[in-house]
Amino acid sequence: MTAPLLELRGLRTVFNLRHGRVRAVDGVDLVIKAGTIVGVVGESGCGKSTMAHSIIRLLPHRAELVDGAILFGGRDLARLGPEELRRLRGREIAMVFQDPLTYLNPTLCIGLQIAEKIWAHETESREQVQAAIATLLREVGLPPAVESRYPHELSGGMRQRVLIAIALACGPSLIIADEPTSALDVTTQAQILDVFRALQRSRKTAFLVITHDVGVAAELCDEVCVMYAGQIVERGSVYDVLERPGHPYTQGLLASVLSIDEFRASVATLDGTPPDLTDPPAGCRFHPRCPHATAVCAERVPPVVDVGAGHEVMCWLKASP
Amino acid sequence: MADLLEVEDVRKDFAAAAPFFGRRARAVLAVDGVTFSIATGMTFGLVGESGSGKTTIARMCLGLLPPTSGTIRLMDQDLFGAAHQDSRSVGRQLGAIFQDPSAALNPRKRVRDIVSLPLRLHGAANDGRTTERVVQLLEAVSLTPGARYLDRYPHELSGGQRQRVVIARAIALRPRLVVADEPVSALDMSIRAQILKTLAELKETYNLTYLYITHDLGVVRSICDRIGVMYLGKLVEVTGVEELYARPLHPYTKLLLEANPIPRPTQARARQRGIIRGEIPSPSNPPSGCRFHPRCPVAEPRCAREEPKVVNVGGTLVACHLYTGG
Repeated sequence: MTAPLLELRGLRTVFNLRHGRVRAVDGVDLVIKAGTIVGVVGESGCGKSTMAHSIIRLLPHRAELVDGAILFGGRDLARLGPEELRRLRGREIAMVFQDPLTYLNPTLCIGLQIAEKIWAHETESREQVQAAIATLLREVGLPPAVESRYPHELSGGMRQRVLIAIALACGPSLIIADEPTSALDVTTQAQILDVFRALQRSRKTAFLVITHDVGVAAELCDEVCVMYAGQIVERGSVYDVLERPGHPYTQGLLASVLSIDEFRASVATLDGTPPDLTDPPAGCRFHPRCPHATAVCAERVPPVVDVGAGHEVMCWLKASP
Repeated sequence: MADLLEVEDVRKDFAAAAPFFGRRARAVLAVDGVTFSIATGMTFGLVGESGSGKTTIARMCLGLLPPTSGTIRLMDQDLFGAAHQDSRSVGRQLGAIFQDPSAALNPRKRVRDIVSLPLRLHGAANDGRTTERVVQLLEAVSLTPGARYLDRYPHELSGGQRQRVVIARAIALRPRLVVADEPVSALDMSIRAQILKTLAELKETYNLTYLYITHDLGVVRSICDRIGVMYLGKLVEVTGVEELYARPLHPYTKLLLEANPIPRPTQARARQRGIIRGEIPSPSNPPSGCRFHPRCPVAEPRCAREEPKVVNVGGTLVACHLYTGG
């Protein structure tokens, strides 16, 4: 078995706010194998973005990584100093964000923005960088002329491709994509998902894709984790999790998804809303909304149970008596 | 019986802005010759990507924006005709739900003032029973007990609850037609399903007719009776919901359906899918002939020259040369 590319062990990130401590990520374990696409699915506020940002330690100042290990390439990223982090970010682990306009400099042409990224990490000649830019643009499906364009001259889909080109520039082994297609139309989204698939094949890059859209995970990912209230409640292969969901939350979430391939006479709903993470419910965090909750669910944290072939469910229903 | 809403050959240009440093912006033809109608009690879904003109149609159907040409009739009354002088009589037949509930609610007003505003504006609040009616409305949208929400401000509510307040306000005057423009797109999946359920219940209770505008073909499948697909200001296909998913006719509709992700990986990966090349062109400079021809996988030379007429193919209205014959 190959060693994992990235391994999170007991990751905890909190937000220190005036009204309390928000436990945004509360004990997350995660393994990403080289060259795989892992999806993290969850609703707003479940901690999926905070978890992703914790990996490369790009947290807002109120957020604090309080516990856990982030093992990558023989190091624990949770313990790296600022200079080591600077060298790691973008070179070994790169990021693609939801809204490319926020991350592109409106006053620089695209070619320069890619070059800046390369020069931040390598000392390459002008010619080498020129050639690299041309290759990168081709890889993400953009015409070479984009090099001299400015962000405002490009469409949303093209800007997202530019962001991917910048992420690729130093050949990272892992790209973290935070809602990479959520701001795009579906036809453009389909194109971008194709770019990700092509890069996984050609470069063997691994991806951690954060998304609220179960459809995106189904189309793109090899493995899927479902997050609820700061914890991963279910994980496994995309087929196991999305076709044979074991956790009542995953089941409810999937039942509430309306898809083009089936008619639902009535919409199944998951009642209630996710809990306040300054004071999460005791026991299983989903128990107040769970249709199958029993007394034990409110008292004790459920165990993580392997229901087969690495398909893990954190639920008392799956625990053997 | 006449249809509740009749939209006939409606066009909307947004005039070019004044020259800016000698550069003249082009006029944008946001909606170009759109015709459809909605029978009482039906839910009509208008589907399209950004820039297709669907929101412009929503605003025109709400009487918020006059069309450049064409007519929009609600219960046989021209929304922008002479009778428009008494816009309130038409206005009370219309309810509006928008995408972003935070932007649609005044942050300085309490829920009771927000929901009672239409009642007050239309003189329906003079009987001293306003609070009672507001509570009823809140409970109709599942904000129960309604009294608990009366004195809350929008920022004290969750996104789903805010959208419920917007819906309560939209139905306050018992309108005939509710125009919902992406009412659940800003909400999480589980909350989205709850709101859709409420909309379906309200339709039964209050005999509503919906014009439902969205980019999401998954949502319309479960709530709409008829669907119109828009592309770059044109309605390219209008059909019943079952027909649309079973037999899409327009090449754009087919590709749009194929681009929609399916949440079941086995099916998602097994299906044949074409990917639309390029992106939607600018409505200020639309392609000649059929507007979809530069991206269409089955385009012929005449698609670039002639604009396809709308033809009826077994009950489906479609604007494509594949079906015009000749």
